[in-house]
Amino acid sequence: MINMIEKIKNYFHKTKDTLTSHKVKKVVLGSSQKRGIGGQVVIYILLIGISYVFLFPLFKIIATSFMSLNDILDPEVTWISKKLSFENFAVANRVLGLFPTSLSNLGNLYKTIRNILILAVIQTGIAALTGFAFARYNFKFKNFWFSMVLLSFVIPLPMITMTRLDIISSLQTLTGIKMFNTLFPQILFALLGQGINSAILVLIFYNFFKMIPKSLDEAARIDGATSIQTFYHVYVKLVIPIVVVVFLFSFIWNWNDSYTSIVFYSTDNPLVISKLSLFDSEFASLQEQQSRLNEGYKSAATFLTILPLLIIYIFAQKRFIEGIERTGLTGE
Amino acid sequence: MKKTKKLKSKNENLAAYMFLLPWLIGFVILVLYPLFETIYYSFFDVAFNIDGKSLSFIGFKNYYDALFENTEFTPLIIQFLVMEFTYVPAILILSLILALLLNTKIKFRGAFRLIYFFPVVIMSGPVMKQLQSSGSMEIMDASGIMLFRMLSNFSPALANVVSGIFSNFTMILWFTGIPVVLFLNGLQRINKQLYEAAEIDGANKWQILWKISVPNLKSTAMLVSIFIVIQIAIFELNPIYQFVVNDQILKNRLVRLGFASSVVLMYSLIIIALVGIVMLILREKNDEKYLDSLKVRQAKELSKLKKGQTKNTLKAIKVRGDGK
Repeated sequence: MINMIEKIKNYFHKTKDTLTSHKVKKVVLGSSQKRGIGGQVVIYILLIGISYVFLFPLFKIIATSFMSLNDILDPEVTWISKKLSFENFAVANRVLGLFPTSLSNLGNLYKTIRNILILAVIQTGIAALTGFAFARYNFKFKNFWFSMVLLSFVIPLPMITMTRLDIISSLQTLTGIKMFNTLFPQILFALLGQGINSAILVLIFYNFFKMIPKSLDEAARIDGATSIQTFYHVYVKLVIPIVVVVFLFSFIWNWNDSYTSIVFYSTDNPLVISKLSLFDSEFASLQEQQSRLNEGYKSAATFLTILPLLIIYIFAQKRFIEGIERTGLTGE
Repeated sequence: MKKTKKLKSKNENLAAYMFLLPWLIGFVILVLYPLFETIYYSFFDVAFNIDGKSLSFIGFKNYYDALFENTEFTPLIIQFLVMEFTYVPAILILSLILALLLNTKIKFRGAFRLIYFFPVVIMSGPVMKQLQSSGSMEIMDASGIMLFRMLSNFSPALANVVSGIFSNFTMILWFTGIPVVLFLNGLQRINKQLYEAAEIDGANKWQILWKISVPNLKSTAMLVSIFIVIQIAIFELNPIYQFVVNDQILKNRLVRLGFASSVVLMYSLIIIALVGIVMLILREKNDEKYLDSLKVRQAKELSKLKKGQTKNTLKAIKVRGDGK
């Protein structure tokens, strides 16, 4: 009997020893060189928990957009609806007018993409020219103008909007062409390098062009190329990847630019997000619906609005992150 | 030789300004001119006739009206400031933590980065409004928690701020997309030798974090904060946005342009002042001064050591003397 107790005691001591031994401690808590399992587990739990908080609204609207009114009101249903219903999407599509209904009406999704493509192409082009000038040439007042680029980023937009409105309205009376509630003001701003977040796009190009060795264009110049020719042959071919990055950012930002569209293009703007901001009133004006506005419709509309952006993001996510790193804001 | 050089620089000037021309025209017409015109109008009472505008100078009356006569502006400004002062530090700290977590050697790093960056792509005023109104942003309700009720008994205003942070926690997280990337980039720029040196000297992870990583991220933190301040300022869900954009820019512009100008100007000045505060707090300390203070400290330590040594030697001599 006493022997038994001795044995158990011994066994207990042994396990205690191994548990507190250096090796186990090293594996769980880690050493200065390598993080232990304990540390890793904590990091993973944190990362996954935060990911859940990040994605929660997205999951929620996806789940809600498949729910019928009964499911929304049912307290038992939180995530997965009892019966899959696609009615919400149909209603949301009708209110937002996304897809073509006939040959004459091509739908707001098409019009949005067309408008945004125009703006993004212009903005990218002008940002490239400006960034190129700052990176490649030494001209008078260069530092002054460069600090003005940064200033134009810091000045809040409301500050300069009122005079911009005046400028557009006087242009309208001068030329007699309708300009408000068309895409014209935004095209004008993009053409003059003052589109949404243009300063950041200029910075991305500036840092990129600065990285390319100057000897390349000197060689081209010795061979007798003009500045425009060097710009095209030496740079344009090298810069396709960075152009894609800037273009993507410009596309996303113009798509999400509710400020300019509210101020300059408030009525009949086909932009999907301005349709979304009017969703409640447009829903009410479409009298054909029997049911009242509920979260299902709203969630479906929100999901449809961000879906194109999410698709772009999934295919081009590396480019976006690269773009932010390329601004060079963190360096030097 | 001299002539060609001059010619070349002239050519270069011309070429540069040609590339710069669209932006330059845009900057002058669409930024600089509006900036000064808005400042100018804010000191005038602007009346609209058939001929156009007629101005009469009234000094600071527009500002006085906005601050003390208008019942909306001042409370909204205070709400806006509360939002900036709670959101900016919260976003800054959260994005720093996320960047530090992502900077460790873990699997699925790319996947986590994918998740943390996606809000940048979809965040816009209307979308956020819909998400909030359909209740998808609220992940938890803080008002029921015991600790929170104690706090609200103690100070309702503070409790409001805290509950604002908790109920908008997801939104705050969604602002961290670009800051996390900037911080990660900043972390990777830190010289690896610094870490190695610290490890050899026997510093642990915690010490390395506070003595090397965080101080080296200061300039990144400044940029991130400026970025967040500006992002929140033009964010549609901030409390003053509707007042400034809908009431002043779109409606009052055609009735009381001077007043609208002064409101917009004050709003902008507050944002610029916030940027200034951020720069003051997070600016790089003057290296020379820092080095000087280090030298002074070193000299003090040395003199202390010397004193100790002389004492010890004296003692030793004494001991030896006693022994004899």
